[in-house]
Amino acid sequence: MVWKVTKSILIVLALVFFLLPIYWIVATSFKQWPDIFAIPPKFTFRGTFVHYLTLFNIRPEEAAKFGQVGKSLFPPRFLNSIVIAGVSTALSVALGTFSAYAFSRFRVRGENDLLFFILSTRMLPPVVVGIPFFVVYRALGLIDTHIGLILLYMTFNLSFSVWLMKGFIDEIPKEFEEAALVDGYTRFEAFFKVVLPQALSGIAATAVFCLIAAWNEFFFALILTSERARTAPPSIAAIQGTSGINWGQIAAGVTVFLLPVVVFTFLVRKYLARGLTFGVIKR
Amino acid sequence: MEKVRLENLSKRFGTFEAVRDVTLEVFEGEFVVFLGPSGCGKTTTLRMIAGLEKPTRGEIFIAGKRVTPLPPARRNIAFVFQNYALYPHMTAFENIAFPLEAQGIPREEVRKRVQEVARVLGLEHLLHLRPAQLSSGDMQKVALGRAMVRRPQVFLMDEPLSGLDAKHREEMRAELKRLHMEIQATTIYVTHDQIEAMSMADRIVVMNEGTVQQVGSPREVYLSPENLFVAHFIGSPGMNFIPLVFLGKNQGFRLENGDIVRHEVLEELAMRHGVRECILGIRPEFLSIGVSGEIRGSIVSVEPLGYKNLYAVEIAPGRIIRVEDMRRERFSGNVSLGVHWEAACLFDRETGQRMRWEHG
Repeated sequence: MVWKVTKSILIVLALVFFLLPIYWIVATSFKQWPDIFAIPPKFTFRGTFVHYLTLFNIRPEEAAKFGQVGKSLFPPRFLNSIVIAGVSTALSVALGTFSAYAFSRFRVRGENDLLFFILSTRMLPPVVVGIPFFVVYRALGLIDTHIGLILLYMTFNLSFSVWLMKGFIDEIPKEFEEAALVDGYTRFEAFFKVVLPQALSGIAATAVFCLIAAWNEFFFALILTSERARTAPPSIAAIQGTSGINWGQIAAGVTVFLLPVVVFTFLVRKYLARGLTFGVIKR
Repeated sequence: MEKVRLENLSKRFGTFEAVRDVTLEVFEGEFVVFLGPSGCGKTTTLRMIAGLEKPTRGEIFIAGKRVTPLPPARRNIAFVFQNYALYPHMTAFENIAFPLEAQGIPREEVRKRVQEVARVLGLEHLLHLRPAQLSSGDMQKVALGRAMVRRPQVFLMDEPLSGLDAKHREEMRAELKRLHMEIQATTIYVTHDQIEAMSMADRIVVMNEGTVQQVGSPREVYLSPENLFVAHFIGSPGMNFIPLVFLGKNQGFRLENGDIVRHEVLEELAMRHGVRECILGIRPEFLSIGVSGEIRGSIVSVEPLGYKNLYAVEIAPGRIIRVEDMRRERFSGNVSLGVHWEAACLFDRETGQRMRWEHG
């Protein structure tokens, strides 16, 4: 009984801890300018869409009141984020799945060393390679390009993707492919028709993690892009007008920025819940 | 007609020799069972025939065609896996249809053939279910259906019944036997269960440590084992081994307890082979308990098995043999065992091989 109550209290505390900042941001994005700064904070207020409207340049005249000079840069940069995070996620999951399959099913020379090497790319804090990357990217003409950030995020996520997918594919018994091979299919067909459908939950989980990592990435986006390929995170942070930081618009930007990841996670949640394949192979 | 031929087939995994020099012919319509303890190379041999494992040495022919370098898809064989390996994301129907789709057979034809197979197996009402919704017996039937639907040259089965409980296993054994009678398909079946082997096989291939020990009908491997391994492995309990020393023609054999036993025919056999150290192999049911037999001993325990009693009899210090007796009365104490000599085998203790007349 005591434990039950304590558990409930702990759960509530954890929920408050994690959800309060999100509530705060979402609430702020709908608050009128004076309410944003009210102390004590207001939990009931008259809402407004003005921050969203200015964020997407729908009512530019309102933006001027907050000291915004020129148009809001959020829409194109939000689009950049979607393209860069989406493509890099697709690439790292695809490459990761193929490599994981190879590691899982074939005898790869120096398999353990290779896997460790792949993992070791995550041991270095990304900040350390910031300057080398800048120099290399400048030499290659990849600064401020979509492909530059896509390659970078793909590389960072690949190690994660290989390891995670290897775990999932290891759990798919190889008899399924052997059955397909005997049934008259090539290994490639067996992979697509038999392995892939069963790896979907793993692919969904891996994709969510890769997407979040690429979506949230701030540091490299800040130093390797400026205009054309700049993503949303550094640009939200830079929203300010002549009369100081435009908190309302920042909050609106963050709220919009949260949505795609939430939507994606909901879309794949069917696959995230495993159990599709359980109980079919007897061990 | 010969359907499958293996020539000096060998497989090495690193330094471990899983299969050594297996040569074998399987005939059209035959049901051949590979029998042996786990790790004897029977599954590896089967997988090599399927093309799932590449032989280190040797050749495989199916229907007269050399298939050694061909992938499984081009061998026209069907494989039934120990764990069924049904595709979990497909229904029973789709599972059975899967091999036909690989051949690009028109949908109407596929439907007809799946239905036909389902009827033979009694699966018609289950075709819309996914594997996870089926009982293990039905999963096994779907796996068989997937094998049957393409009408392969050879059926390869890797312990297909080991996942079932005892009762279902018996049913499926009878079912498999019925199917084999019905479609007369050449079948190679791997198992470690000698009852399965005995009850289904036309011929049994007994394997141990990667080599073929004996090929023969269930009766042959039971009554005339080629060597001590087969003699001991087949039967439950296995054959009794009684060490003998051959003293010479007309002088008989000396038992461990010093007694002499005489048998002219076996003396002649030992004489021809020139073997002194022999082992007498005799199955428990070919010994009888009495008072005036050839081998003295004392009963140490009895296992009543319903219709018969299984005795453990000590015939020399530490040498215990098993004797079966169908009589109702229970014996105990000192007894003398009679030997049905016509069912006895004589082995060379050094080589472990049975002494045969024709090689004398």
